[in-house]
Amino acid sequence: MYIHLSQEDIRPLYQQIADQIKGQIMDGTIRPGEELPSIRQLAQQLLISVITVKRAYDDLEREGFIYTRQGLGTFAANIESSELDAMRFTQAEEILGEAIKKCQKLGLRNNEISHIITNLSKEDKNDDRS
Amino acid sequence: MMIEANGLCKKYPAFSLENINIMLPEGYIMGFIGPNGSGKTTTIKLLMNLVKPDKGNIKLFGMEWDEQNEIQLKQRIGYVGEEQPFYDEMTVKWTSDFVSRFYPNWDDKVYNELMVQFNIDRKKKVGELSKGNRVKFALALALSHKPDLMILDEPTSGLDPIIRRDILKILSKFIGDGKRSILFSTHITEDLDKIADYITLINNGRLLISCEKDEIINKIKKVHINNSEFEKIPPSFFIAHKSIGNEVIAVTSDFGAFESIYKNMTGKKPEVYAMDLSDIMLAYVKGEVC
Repeated sequence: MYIHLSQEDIRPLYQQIADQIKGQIMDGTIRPGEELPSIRQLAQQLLISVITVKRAYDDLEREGFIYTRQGLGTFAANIESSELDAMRFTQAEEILGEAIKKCQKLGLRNNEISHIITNLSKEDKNDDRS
Repeated sequence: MMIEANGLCKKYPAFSLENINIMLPEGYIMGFIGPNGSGKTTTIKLLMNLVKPDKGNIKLFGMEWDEQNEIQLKQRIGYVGEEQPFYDEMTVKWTSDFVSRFYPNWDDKVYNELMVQFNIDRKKKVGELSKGNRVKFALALALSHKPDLMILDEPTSGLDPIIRRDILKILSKFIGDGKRSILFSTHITEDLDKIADYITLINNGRLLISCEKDEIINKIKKVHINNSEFEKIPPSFFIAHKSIGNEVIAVTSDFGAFESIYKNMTGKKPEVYAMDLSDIMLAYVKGEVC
């Protein structure tokens, strides 16, 4: 599992970790049931506070992305594909919502913004999932 | 608890340490920060029983220092300071043989592994080692008697970032099993931004902060607001501020409380920036905002 932490990122470190693991679970890099490094292992790998990693894992567990079996380890949850799709949509709404707000701040009208989104998605065929 | 220090006081003619409290549980790293002359080394001397406190009490591994347990407790501490008091004319091998005799728990296997990892030539005279290798050698000696608590007093000052990172890796591994702890005093706060679990900040012999690092980072933040807003909020919310024309950049010590007051007042979220430990230290110690 590869996690990249950045000091320039405005999100706190625990949130950067949780967001990246979430992303890897949603895009299938981490498969359902796959074992994650222990809190102390990940802390050592990233040279980061044990408490920070614990907070990230606690948040992920509360949101149902991972689960811990006492004495066995921490694993990626088996999330139903319909639920996974719902999560992807929620996250896409968050990302686009932010971007749209910024565009509105620049003074663009909504039909102009959707025009840009349509054009950009046509250009970037590499990322097409279907 | 690895370290339990309550109400430590120590008076010197020109300096006094007042009411220092430190709690460090098993399995964690505490960063101990403050400007030069703030009392970090004095506090460490008190913890290690090299100096007696005027008031307050200290427990290491759940035990108070006394004449019966002094040697036993010292065996369980690994100490590396800023200067390493070696005999410079003697070789590395002679030095490790000499040091190992004082520690019944000395483990040659641990020592040999560290020396291979650090790539230090044992036939060299200690005085010929580079500054980085001298610190690494001191670290190898301290780790080889298998202490439960490492106390580091500014060992990384003057070392380059690559060697400092090597040292952080060793420290992170040391606490890896969750049973051992480290008190790491340094003024290079960037060494602690990521790795420290707890932070204790002192200045001028007084304790300013001692708690989980993430809690500090979550609570102490820099906010960007305008002057009229700033004037309506009680000054007790701010540790430091500076005005730029009509705007104010202020450091709040309780972001959660500040945010709710601000939202009630203006109906919007404040513009906020994260601070690293060096920004926080500057705000607390000098009242400056950068």
